[in-house]
Amino acid sequence: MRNIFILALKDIRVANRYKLVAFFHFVFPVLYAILVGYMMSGIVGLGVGMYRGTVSVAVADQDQSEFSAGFLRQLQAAKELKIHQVDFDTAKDMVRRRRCAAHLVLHKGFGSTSWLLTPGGQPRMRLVIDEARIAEGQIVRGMVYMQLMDYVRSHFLRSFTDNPEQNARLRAVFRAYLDVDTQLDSALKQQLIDLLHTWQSVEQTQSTSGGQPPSGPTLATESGRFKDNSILRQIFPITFPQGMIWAMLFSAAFYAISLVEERAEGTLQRLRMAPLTRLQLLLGKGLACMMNCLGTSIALLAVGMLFFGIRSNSYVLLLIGLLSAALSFSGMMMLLASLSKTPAAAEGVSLSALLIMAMLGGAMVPEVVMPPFARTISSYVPIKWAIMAMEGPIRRDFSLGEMAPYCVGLTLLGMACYVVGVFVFRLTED
Amino acid sequence: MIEIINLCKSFGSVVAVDGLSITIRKGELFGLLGPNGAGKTTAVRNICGLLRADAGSVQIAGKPPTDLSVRKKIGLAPQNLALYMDLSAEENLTFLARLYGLSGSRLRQRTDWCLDFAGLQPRRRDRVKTYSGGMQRRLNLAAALMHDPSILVLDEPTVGVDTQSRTAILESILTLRDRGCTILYTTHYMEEAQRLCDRVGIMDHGKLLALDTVGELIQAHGGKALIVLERGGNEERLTTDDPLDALSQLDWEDRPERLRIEPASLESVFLNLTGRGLRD
Repeated sequence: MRNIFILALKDIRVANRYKLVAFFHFVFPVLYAILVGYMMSGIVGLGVGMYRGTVSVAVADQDQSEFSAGFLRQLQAAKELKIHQVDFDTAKDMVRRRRCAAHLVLHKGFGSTSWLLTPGGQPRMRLVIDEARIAEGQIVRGMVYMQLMDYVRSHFLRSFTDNPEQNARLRAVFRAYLDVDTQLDSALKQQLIDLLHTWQSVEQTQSTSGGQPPSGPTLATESGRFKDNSILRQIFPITFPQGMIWAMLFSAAFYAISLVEERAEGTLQRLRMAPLTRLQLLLGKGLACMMNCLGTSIALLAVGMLFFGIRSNSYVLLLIGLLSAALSFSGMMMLLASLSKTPAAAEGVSLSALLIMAMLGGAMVPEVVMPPFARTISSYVPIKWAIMAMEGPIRRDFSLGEMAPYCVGLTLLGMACYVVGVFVFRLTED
Repeated sequence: MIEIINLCKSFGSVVAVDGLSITIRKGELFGLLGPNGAGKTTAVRNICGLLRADAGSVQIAGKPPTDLSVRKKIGLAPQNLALYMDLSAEENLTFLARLYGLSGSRLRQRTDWCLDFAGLQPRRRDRVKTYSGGMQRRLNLAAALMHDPSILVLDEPTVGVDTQSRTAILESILTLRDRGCTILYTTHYMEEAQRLCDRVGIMDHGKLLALDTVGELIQAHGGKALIVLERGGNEERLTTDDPLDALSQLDWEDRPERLRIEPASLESVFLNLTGRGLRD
C-alpha cells in the first residue's frame, strides 16, 4: 500500500506542475458552476415568477379592439417580456432578422371572448416562434398564455362587478339554466357553477374591501424550496455538483493520457523494474486519479459552501457519494487508458467518450431540453448516477437507501472498469 | 550471474530474438552489439523480465528476473529517457528510491551520491526538461543506480550526447565496473565497446553471431590490417596479416610522404559479421 501511495503522490505532484491542469480541474468547474448557475437562474426563475431577463416579442394587433389593447398593456407590463408593437409584416421580419424570439398576431375577433364559454375554444391569436430560439420561444409561450389568462379573468371580474343590476339579471338567467333540468352539456354546466361561485366570492371580497375589485391571481412564487426568493441559492446546488462532475471528467481524461504517456515515454518501464507488481503500478495511477477527483470536488464544495450557500443534509452521505463517483471515474480512466496505444489516441478516446457521457448524463445539456429517447439513455449513463449521488445529499434530502442505487452502481461500474482495464493493459504489455 | 538460455521472442511474424544463449559472469562488463533492429533491446527487456519470452529462460542468481527480490538487484537505464520531465532531478531520484524502500539518511546519502555521479548537484532542484541532452542522459543513468544495484543494464546509454558527456558516462561506467558491478551494455558504437567491455556478443536478426573478448573477436573475425602509403600524390593500400613484416619488406629508398596503418578493429569484426547493407 505504501508503494501505491508513493506512486499516487508522484502523479499528483506531476499534475500540479501543469498550469492547464489546475485550470481544467478547478478553475473551469468553478466557473462552470457559477456562470451556468447565473444563466439557469434566468430560465428557472421564469417558472417561479422570478425571471430577471427579458425576451423580445413583436406583436401585431389586427383586432384593434379595447380588449386587445388592454391585453397588450398587460403584456407590456410583464417585466419578463419586451413588447414591440408593430404591423404583421414587420413582426415577421423582426423574427426573421433575429431581433425577436417570437411574433404574436392578435387576429380580428380576438376581443370577442365567446371562445371562453366554448369547450376547447381558443383565442383568435397566433404565436410564431423562431425555430432557432426554441428555449426563449417556450418562455414567451408560457408568459403570453399566463398573461392572457390573467387578463381574461380580471377583465371578466371587472365586467361583472361594474354593473350590479346586470349582474343580478345574468345570475338569475344562469340559475334558471341550472335549476331547470335542461340538456346542457355537463362541462358547460360545471363552468357556469364555477362562475357563479367566483362571482359570489368576488362580491363578498368587495363588500369587505370597500368596493375595490380584487386583483387578478398572482403567479406562484412560493413552493417548497423557493421560500427566500433567492433563485440562485436553489440553482447553485444543481450547478456545483455538475462542476464537480466536470472536475472528475477532466481528472479521468488527464490520468488516462498520463498513463499512456508513461508507457510511450518509458517511465512505466522503469517503474516496472522496481520491486512492484503490475497491479500496484496501475493502482497507483488509479489512486492518484481518485485523490484528484476527491480533492477537486471537495475544493469546489468548499467554494460553494463559503460563497454560494451550498449545504448538505448529510456530509457522510455526501462523502459516500463522492467516493463512489471518484472510484467510478478512476475505473473509467483505467479502461480508457488500456484501450489506447498512444497519448494522442488516449486524448481522443478519453475526451470524446467522457464528453459524450457528460452530454447524455446531463452535465453539459440540461435534461429538460433532451428529446425523450435521450432522457431514457440518460438514466443509464454513469455521469447521471454521479450527479444524483452528489445532488442527493445537497438538494434532494436523500436517505442512505435512496443514495444506495447510485452509489452501488458507480462502485460496481468502477470496479468492473478496473478489472477489464488491468486485464487489457497486461495483455497489451506482453 | 546472468544466464540466458535459448531465449526466443517474436512479435507476430517478426522474430526479434532467436535462440539467444549467453552467460554473463559476476563483475563482468558485457557488451551486446548489433545494428539497428538486431534484437538488442528486446533481449534486454527479456533479460529484465519486462517481456515474457516465447521460449527459453533467463536466470539471475538462480531466479527469474520477474522475482521481486531479483528486481531489487537490477538497475535499468533504458534507451529512452525514462524520467519525469516536470520533476527536478532530486524529485525523480527520491521518488524512485522510495519505491525501493529507501528513506531517511540512506535516501539522502544515495541522492547526493547519484547527483554527484551525474554531475548535477548545482541543478538538482531544476526541472529535468530544462536540462541539456547530456545532463538528461547522465540523470537517466544515475536513476538506475539510486538503489545501489549489483547488476546494471544499460541500453545504449550514450545515444545523442556530446563528446564531454559521453566521456563522463563511459568513465562512470568503468568506475562502476571497478566497484564490482555486473554490467550488460548494449550499443552500436564500436569504439565504446572496444574501450569498455571485457567480452562482447554480436547479434543480428535476433541471433548471436559471435561472443568473445574484443581481442579474440578481432583475431577471429577482424580480417587483415591495412597499410596506406602516399607517394608522389598517389595512394597505395596494402592488406596484410602482419603489418610489421609488410613494412620491413617495403622499398624504403622511394620514401613515402605519408604512411598510415589501420589494424583490424571491432568495427571491422562487426562489419564482417553483419555485412555492409543499410539497416532500417
